[in-house]
Amino acid sequence: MKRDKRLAFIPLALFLAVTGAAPAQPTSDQAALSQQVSAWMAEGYDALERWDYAQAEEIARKLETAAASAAADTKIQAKAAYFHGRFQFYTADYEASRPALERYQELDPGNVHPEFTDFLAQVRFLADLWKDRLEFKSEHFIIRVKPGKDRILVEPALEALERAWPVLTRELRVTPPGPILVEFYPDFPAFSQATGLSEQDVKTSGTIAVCKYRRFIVTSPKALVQGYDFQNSICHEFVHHLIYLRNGKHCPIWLHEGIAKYYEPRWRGEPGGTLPLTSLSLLAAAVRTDQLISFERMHPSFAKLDSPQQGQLAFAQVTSTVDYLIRTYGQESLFRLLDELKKDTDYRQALQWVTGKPFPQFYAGWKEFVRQEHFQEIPGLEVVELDIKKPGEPGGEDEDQVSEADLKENEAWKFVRLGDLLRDRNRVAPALVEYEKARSLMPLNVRLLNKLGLAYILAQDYDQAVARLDLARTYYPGMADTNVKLGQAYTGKGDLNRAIESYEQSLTINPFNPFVYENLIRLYEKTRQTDKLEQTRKRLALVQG
Amino acid sequence: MNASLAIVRRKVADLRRRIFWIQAGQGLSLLGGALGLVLLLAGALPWLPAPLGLIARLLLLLALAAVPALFLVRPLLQSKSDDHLALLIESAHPELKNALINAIQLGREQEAPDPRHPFSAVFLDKHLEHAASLIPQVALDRAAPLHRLKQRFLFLAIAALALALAQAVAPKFLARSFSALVLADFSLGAGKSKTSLARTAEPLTAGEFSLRYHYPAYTGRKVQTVEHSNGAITALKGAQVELATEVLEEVREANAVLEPGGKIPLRVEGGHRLSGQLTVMAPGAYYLEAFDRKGRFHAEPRGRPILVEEDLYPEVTLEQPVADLEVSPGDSVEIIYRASDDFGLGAAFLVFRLKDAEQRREIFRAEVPTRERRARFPWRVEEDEIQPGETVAFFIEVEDNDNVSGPKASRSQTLSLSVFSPRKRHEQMLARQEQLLEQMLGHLGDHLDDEIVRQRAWANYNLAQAETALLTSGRAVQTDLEKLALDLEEDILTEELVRSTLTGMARTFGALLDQREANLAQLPAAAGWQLALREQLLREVENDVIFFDKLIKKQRIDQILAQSRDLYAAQAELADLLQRYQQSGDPALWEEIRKKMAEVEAAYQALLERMAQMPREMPEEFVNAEALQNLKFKDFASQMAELKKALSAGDAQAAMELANQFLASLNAMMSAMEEGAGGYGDAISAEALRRMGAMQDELTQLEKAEQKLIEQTEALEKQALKRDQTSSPGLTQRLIEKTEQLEQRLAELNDDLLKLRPSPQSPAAKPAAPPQDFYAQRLPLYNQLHALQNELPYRKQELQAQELEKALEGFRRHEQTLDQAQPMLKDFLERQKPAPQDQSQALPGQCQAAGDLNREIIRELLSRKQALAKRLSPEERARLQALAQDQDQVKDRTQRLLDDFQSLSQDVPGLPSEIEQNLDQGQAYMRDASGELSLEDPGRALVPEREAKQRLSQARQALENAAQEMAKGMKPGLGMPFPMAIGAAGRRGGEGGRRGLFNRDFELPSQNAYQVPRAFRQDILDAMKDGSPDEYKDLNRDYYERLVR
Repeated sequence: MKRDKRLAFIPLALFLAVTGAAPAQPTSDQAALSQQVSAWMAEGYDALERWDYAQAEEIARKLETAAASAAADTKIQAKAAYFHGRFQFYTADYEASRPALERYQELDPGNVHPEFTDFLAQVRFLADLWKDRLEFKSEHFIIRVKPGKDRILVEPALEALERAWPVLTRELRVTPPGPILVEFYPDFPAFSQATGLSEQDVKTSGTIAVCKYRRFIVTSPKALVQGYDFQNSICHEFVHHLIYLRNGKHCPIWLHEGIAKYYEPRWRGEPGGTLPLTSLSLLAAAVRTDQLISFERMHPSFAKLDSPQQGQLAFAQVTSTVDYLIRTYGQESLFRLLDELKKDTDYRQALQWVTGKPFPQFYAGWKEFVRQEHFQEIPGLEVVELDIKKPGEPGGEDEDQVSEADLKENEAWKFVRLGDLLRDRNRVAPALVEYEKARSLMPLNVRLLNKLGLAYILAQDYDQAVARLDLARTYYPGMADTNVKLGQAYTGKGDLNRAIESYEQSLTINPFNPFVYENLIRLYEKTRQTDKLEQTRKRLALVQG
Repeated sequence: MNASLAIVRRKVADLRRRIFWIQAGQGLSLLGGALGLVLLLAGALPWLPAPLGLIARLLLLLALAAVPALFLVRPLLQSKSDDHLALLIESAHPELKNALINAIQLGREQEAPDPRHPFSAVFLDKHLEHAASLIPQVALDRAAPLHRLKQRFLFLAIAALALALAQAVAPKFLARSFSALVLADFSLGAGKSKTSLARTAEPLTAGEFSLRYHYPAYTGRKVQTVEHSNGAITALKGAQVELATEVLEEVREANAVLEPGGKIPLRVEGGHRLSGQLTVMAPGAYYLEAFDRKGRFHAEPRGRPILVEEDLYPEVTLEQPVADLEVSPGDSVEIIYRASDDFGLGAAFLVFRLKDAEQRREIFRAEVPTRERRARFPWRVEEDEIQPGETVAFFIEVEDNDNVSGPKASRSQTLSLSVFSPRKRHEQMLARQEQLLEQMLGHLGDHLDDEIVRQRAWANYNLAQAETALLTSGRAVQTDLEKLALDLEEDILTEELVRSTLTGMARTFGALLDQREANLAQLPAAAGWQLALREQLLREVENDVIFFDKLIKKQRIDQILAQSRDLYAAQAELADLLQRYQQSGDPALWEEIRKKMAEVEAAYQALLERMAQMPREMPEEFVNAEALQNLKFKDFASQMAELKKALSAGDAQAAMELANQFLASLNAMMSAMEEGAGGYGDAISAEALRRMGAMQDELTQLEKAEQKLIEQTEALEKQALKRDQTSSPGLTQRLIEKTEQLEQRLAELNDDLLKLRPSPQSPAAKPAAPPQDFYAQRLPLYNQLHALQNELPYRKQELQAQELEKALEGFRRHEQTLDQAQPMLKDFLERQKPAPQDQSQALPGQCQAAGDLNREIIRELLSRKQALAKRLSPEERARLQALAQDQDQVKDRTQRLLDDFQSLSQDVPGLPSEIEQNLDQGQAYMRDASGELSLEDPGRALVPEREAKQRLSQARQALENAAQEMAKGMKPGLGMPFPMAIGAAGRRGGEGGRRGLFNRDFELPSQNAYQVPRAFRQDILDAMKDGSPDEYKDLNRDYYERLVR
């Protein structure tokens, strides 16, 4: 997640900042009413923070009634309008929120501060963005998308969430009161506007979805060059949602993320705490060299860490910590810890209470646990940053170029560029020589492995292509491009079932690539999988708009 | 067939034949009668008025055609069945009571019985027999009588008689009638019939005409009279001809009838003299016709010819230019043409094709008749708005002055004129660079392909063959690199860096290819070395390709920037014009505004086209893609459309606002582009500068460390020398004295050498040797020995200062010089046999003696050094070992610096190679110095130490220069901010020259160089003898020292 606790206090602080400075000379009735209104508003904000929107709605109604009474002055009317606008924003009804906030601006122009202006701008943006929204409901979730290609996300998203629902609610012992809204934002600027996260934040922490205001704010995979495993990500947010329902704000960020990451793969039936090889390698190296990131440094947000490597290491640490806790002290220990934290206890004390060991001892135990796991440190393994698509930039399978920064970073990129130049001139064999030269210098670079895979496909050496691409998929499973090329290579080899599997895998990361659907249709026809054929054709039509 | 039936049918057939002949006779008679009648009527045709006559004639012809069709062909073609004929007979013989017709029909039944009508065969036979029995009674003349035939014969006879009568009365009646009916024209022309009559008449005239020609004014010809002519007219079109003739018979009215059409009335004087005037417009003929006093018509049977003289086409030749040409903008092209025409030139034009439209400029208009003209015309291409980069095809077109038929035009040969455009040239050069990059990539690919083949099939692999092929393509790349580098000198828009980079690449490439080629002969033994050389070249090509690729892409971006500047400038001018218009309201500005708008559009279009051509794989660093994306070119297009609309509507106010808006947008675009494009070059340069700065710092530190080593070594040496000086004070003095002796001997040798003269007898052996050979051969020898002589004072100083190692090095050089001078001297004397002979014969001995003395000094110096080494204290020896270690450290740092520099050179190939050479040599000297220090010989260590420092200093200097050049190139928006290569200047050291002689970096005079005035030569020789001024001595010394090392 990726949830920022500080954000929870912004509305109240904002309102107090907006209204507190206002001079008032009320009559006695007005004074009483004003006092009452202030009390309601404090309650209202608390309800909003607790995601108790039913209570917040009730308070909003009370405020409206108060504002309509004869004793109400413009200040009270303004307060009511403001609360109403904010309440509607929390419930994601931006079109209702906007006029209320604008009314507040009219009623109390003297108290319009930059924070409010920013907030109003955000609401206006979101109201405009979602005015033509499409919403799709399942039993427990509502998916909101913009008309167009994002429609393709609805079915897989609902499928993943509904599969996650019974597993996660059971395992985390929390059941959300009503349907949960999931908003898929069409591009990164919109996501950024909705969450306030910068591109660098996203790159560092890998945050592409946020659980906030009792809904999931999610970036569409089409906003990223390579896409991402959006089903996993929304299930990750679902875990955050459940923890928040369970503990409110009484859960430190490291534990929040650790639990979410631990339970993230459960919807697929995979065991909890499964981490990719890159993370394990980073973790093993950090434990060996004692370069671990302290839990304190993970506050207030993983997005504020120094680099993507640190972000990935932090996730590995916290996931492994939760894994250690559960495996060493049992599943109940996690719930006991959460319960203890509800009491606003320091996590170190809470951990001691649960494990019976002081935190340093627990931490040392965890480190020993990691050592005992014998995670492999893989030389040459690299952390892949999320690559946000620039305006007009094609995504997916389009060739990525060797940049000047690459060339400065490692001489190997020189050979890659030479390989690209030769390959583009149909000199595939010499290109392969150059690529292999580069590979001898950076054996596990995913971009290079993908280029090698493509070159071997062009050279019709499908065995070599599969070997290189398989390596890429093993270490970097989140790359749609790798899976697409693997699909091509397996097709070339004549292994149609594996080709289908690879293409299908690529769609879980980037479901917007028409080329993949077209190939799948051909393969389904060949393998006579008529049941999937029709569905894939429909999806292709959606993607092609 | 039944016999009875045959009888019946035979009768019927007889009737058919009879009827046929009767009908044929009738038809022919009718036709003959009709023909006679028509001919009779046709005799009246000439007297009928034209339209009526023609109608009557047509009716007659129609009638003549209708008669045989209706009355001959049609009846004969009508088929007559047996039944029909039988009925005819029955009708003429009712007594037969249908026996005949029944027999015919029943006969058919007998032959082909119809089951629907079953007849008894007996009955049939009976009936047929009955019918046959009746046949004899049948008379065919009753069935087909002849009375109608007789009537037709009568008609024919009457017609023939009438015709005969007419012919008798008018003997040529038949001929005339036939002519009027058939031969005459089918026109409505009046008197046609008369003409045909007239043609039969005799000539009217005696056959003598007087013709007076009035030629068209444009020809400039005078009036010409032709007497006693036969009436045939030959004239230019448009000429007026007055004709006059006498007729034999008296006439009252006459015409000249023109063929093919027209009639000119002639004036009749005295009944016999006819005169008139006609204008010749087309070739044809004419004849005369006339009515005499009795009203009889006369017309000549044959026409007199009218011939039209031809007005020839003008001719034009372009004398200058004679071939396609290229001019600079603003240049004027002098065009010289020669034109001529038989009657006169009308005008001349310069015609050229510009932007798919033909443009004509009148360059001459004849005011007075001009038959020939040679003229110059300065063509200012700017006036015709031919833009830089455009090429137009042009020619000269001349027209004659024919105002009758219209001017006839001719063209000169067509040439093309291109207006030089630096941008176009740059574009061509860029395209060539791209081609070259492709070629280099191909070459790289070939190498790699061959490596694959070699590794897969080593046993069958023929390295020499493969190398030959690769070397051939490598040479092609090298040649193209050199050629392009050379051609780029003419492209002012190409940065010097590009040219020098290509030159550098070609040089390195060539050197590596040379090595590979040289080693080819050693194959297969030296296969390993060959492959190593190949690998070296491969690395070079790889680096070159990477850099060249960047270089080209950067140049492409620069092109876009240049075009966006054009657009901005045009737009700014437009805005300015609009503002001026708003202020002044001057309508003259409006046209200028429209033109400028067109310019803006063109510049915008050119920019878009250029951007579309941008390579897809342009690295992100070259362009700020996001910024460009945000520019929204669509908005530009709509802004421009609105601006154009406002201009069309004449709304200057709106246009002004839009122009400013557009200008602001453009400004934003350019900023974004320049930011993106400049960023790339700056990034490279800044990074390179940073690395170079670090290297300079390190070099400075190394220089200091080396200086410190020198100082410490010097101190140790001086201490040892001091002790030596104390123990053997006379030794130095003895060495100085010997040096002075050597100086003396060399002075004598040189003097004697100068006294030699070319021998007058010597040419007997080589009669062709000119005297200048003598001088040419002697001069270098003299130069070397004299220079050596001049060096000896320094040796004395060194000995005096106890700088034994320096002195020793000096004497060793002198030894080499003297050793090489001896064979040169011998060769010179043998070849030239100079006079005086006795003096010349002594010279080798003198030289040998000088050499011996020099060797003696060296021996003494060496023995002294050995003695000196023994005088070092244990502390001094330990100190020397420590210095050796320090020297090793400095050497290692230098090696690391060299590695860094090589890495930087890969990224920026234009860096001067002398830096690398100096660092390499420097660390080699350091290794030597370290060795000498380890051997505890401070004197010997000092020389390489000083050399090492010198190399470090040179490397630092070269690096500073390169960094300065690079910094100069970093001006934003001014093209490639890359380092400038120093070029070949730094590569001269180590190349050429013969070691041991002081000829490195000397320009040895050639034979021709000798041919300067003798006095001048003498001055030079005197000056050499005098030596250098004192103030230059230190400089000279330093110079010589550096030269020989």
